[in-house]
Amino acid sequence: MSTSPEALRTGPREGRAKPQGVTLRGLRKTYGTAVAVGGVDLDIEAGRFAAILGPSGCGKSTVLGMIGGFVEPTGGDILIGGRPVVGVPPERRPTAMVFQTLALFPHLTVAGNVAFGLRVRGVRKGAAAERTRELLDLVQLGPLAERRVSELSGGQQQRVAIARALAVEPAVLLLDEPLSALDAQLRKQMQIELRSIQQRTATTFVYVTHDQQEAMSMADQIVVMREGAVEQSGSPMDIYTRPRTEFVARFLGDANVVSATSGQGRSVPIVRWLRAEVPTAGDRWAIRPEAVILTGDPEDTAPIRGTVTRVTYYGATMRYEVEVGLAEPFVVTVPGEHRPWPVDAVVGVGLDPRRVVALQGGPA
Amino acid sequence: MTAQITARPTRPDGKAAGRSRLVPGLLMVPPLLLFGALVLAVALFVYRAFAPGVTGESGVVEAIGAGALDSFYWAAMLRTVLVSLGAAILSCLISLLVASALVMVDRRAVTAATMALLFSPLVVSMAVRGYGWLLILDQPPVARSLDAAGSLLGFLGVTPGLLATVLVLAHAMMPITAFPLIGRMREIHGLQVNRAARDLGAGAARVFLRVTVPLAAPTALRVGGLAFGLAMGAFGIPAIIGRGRVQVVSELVYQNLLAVDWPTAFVRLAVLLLVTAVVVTPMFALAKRLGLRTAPRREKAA
Repeated sequence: MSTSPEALRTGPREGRAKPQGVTLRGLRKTYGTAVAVGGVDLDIEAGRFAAILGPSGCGKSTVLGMIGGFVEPTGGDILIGGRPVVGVPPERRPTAMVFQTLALFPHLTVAGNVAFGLRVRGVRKGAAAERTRELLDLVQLGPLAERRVSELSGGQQQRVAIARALAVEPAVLLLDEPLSALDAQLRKQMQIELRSIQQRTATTFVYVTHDQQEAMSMADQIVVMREGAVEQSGSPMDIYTRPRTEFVARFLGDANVVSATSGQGRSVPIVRWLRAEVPTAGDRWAIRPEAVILTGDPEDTAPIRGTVTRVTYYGATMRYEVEVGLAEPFVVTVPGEHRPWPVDAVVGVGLDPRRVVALQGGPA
Repeated sequence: MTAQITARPTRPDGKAAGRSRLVPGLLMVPPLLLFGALVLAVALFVYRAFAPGVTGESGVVEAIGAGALDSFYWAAMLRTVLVSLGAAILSCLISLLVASALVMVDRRAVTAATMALLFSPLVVSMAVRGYGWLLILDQPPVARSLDAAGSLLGFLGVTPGLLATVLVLAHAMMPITAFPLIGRMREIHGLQVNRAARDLGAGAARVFLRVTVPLAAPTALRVGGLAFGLAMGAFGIPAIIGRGRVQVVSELVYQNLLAVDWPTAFVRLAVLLLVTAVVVTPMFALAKRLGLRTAPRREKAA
């Protein structure tokens, strides 16, 4: 199926662009013998906030670059709104990108930056100015319209970059780690603002990040990538509570990963319990620290018992490391207000089979 | 009883401050001697130029009265400004295009080879370059093109020889204009603004005109100003390439100096410097103004 570039161009002249879904089929990118992205299949529904999450070098920015048209795929298809876009230059795709460096035009004012895309697409000056005002109001920068971008704070520059990208009414907005340069507090504030802007504009957002908290707090859909491939895709709750692999379990929050061979030949009670209660074809289970109940009653007859080796108080929570016969200490998180067990205390370790996840694949 | 202890100021590494000034001071001696010699030469030149002439008046006044700044001189000045402006603009344009291409290609070997080519005017003697260019310019297609362009621009007083001089001077100025512009283009590329502009719907030409050129303009104006200033004083290339038919102010001054006519040489040189300053100063001022628009914000000291 071929698509004329004109058909893909979106802009204010055509009215507000409808959000469109993104589909990747067998998407690959190689540089010589090095595989940056090796056969990615992915569906992002229209109007959703999708976060592509993964460690540095996993290929997430390359995927974003290919969707935006800045990186030519070695193979596979990219469909936006059902139309293939491979070979279509960036300026003719229904996408806009917010770059990691923000890439604001330093020689233009805030309003000039936002109006740039409209003016190069032939929107008349008056209409462009009106749309620019609307967008600056949306990102709460109206009073700063005539400022130079270098006179703004990091968060304000961030909002200019978003307004500039939204000005061309993209069907899909691509964001490449746009908050990575901000301090923690501003970052949290911008996460809330970004999510709010996405909901108000109903634009499809594809957001690349290596920060799992950021992805969890903003996205409808999280795509976890590892070594150029999609490890798991789903809602934040699905991915957190039902990680498919050890890598996903460990990458999103803390996880106790227990292997059937953890006892190194010895029979370990927790492994016996898991084999009995959560049968699996694989040999690995993941248990979130907050899914464990500790009991300290001397009469306790819990099948799994352990010794507290470390206690760390975090205010809202208390983190215990308990020795249960595994190579690594078993991590347990409990609400912070309870009366703590001391180091060397013997405790019962209570597990709910429904909150134990049988993992696929080998070690991370 | 109290004892006042005074210590010699020391640097953080514990060495005496006095000693630290000695070494830089010694290093400054050769350039200061050279600068002193230059100032002395200029002073002698001015003294000779202003010494009373045959009528008893100052030599400079006599030279002006005798036609040091006559219409012939102003025609040469106009030619000099045209050649220098043309060379500076052409050199900047070529450098901008070369810099853009290098950033786009982004291959180390290509960059190294191009840099060597751009640097070559500095290491090859002007006479060798000049005669090499004459061989090229004498090739019939080149000569015919220059003749055609000369006829087209003849109403401006432009001749084929003048165009050839502009071309060769622009080549000579490439090391001055290209290297800073390549650096600037790399900075612009690093900002990803060209990518952003394309992403927003701008084609290649628009990206170049609306993003690259405005951001490169302060650097281009500065290096253009430098190239213009150097070209205003060029003597050898116009003499060789113009084959004696492109007379510039420097050549007139050279003839005055050969004739030991210090006052006339002084007057003509002073006006040359003044004209250079009149052109270059607004260029630098504009570069500064444009540069401020793109400079990062200066944080106020706490």
